[in-house]
Amino acid sequence: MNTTSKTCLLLEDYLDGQLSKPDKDSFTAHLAECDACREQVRVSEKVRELFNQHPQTGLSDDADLRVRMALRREQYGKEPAKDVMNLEETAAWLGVTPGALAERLDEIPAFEIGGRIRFSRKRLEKWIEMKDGDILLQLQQSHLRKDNNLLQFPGGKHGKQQSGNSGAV
Amino acid sequence: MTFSDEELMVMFAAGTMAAFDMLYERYRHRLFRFARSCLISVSAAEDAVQDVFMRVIRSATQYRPGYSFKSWVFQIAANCIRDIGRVERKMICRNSHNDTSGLEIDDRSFHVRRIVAANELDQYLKVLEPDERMLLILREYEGLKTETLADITGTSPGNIRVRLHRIRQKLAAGRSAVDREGEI
Repeated sequence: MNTTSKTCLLLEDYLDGQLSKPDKDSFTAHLAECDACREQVRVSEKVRELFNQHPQTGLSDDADLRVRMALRREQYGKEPAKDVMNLEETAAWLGVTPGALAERLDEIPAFEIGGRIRFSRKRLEKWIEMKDGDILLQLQQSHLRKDNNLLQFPGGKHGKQQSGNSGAV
Repeated sequence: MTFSDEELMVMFAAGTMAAFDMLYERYRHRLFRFARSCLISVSAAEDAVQDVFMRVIRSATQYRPGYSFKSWVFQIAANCIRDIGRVERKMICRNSHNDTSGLEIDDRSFHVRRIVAANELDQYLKVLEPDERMLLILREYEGLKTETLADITGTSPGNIRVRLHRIRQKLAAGRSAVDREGEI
């Protein structure tokens, strides 16, 4: 096996395809002579090939939803809850999805002002006491439903419209 | 207009929640794939993604404007995966490579193909320590450059080159042994 030369140091750039034409030609010539670099390239290609044969799926819809919910709680949970909240804020405060909340609007104390649905925190607290948390539990359990139209973050690809509205509180 | 990751992170640190959402959209699958390649179970990888973004939220004010967001978030991911990996390795004895409990794929043929490939990949990488495996994945699968890896690991690009060299040597030696076993 050859000793490491300055040309060997170009290996990573070669693997990245970042070498200029003259450097690439020079390194290719070097490969014919250097067992160590040839082995490095062979292993790198083998690993990349194995990764490519190993189909990786992305985050599943359910997992994505769980993560979004947790992050939403983290984002909003730190701020003291407002007395009057919009749909997003209320959903985060209750630990449910906006979609689940929207589905049960007829059961949850809400009011409308200027065409926008708002929730009074005090009324919600009383409602939770009255209902003994049963409906809230159902709401929280239903958050795994795939009603993506209502469950995107405000800035998500389906949620930009909502973002504009929620920003106007 | 498309904002860079760094611009979005600065905006988020200043309180723009929508900027965080965009970063999440950009990195969620990528981070999941990274976690999935390093950890044994799907649920552990999902937890890792959540933990990474939690730490992004909690550390937003510590983000230095101008610093590569990619380096920063992968640095966080590497720490999260290391933490979860420690727990996972304690809890799961992974002697059998035929264990398919962590592979939740609907399509049967895809499922089988993935198990075979995963086994071959696992077999090939089994000679590596967890940190070596992580570095190799970031390099060969995520395609991160040596400079970025140096940022992530807090070392120099030269050190990364040396470590990658040793990792590949180790793999080549491990592979030779496997090849020899196969010939017998």
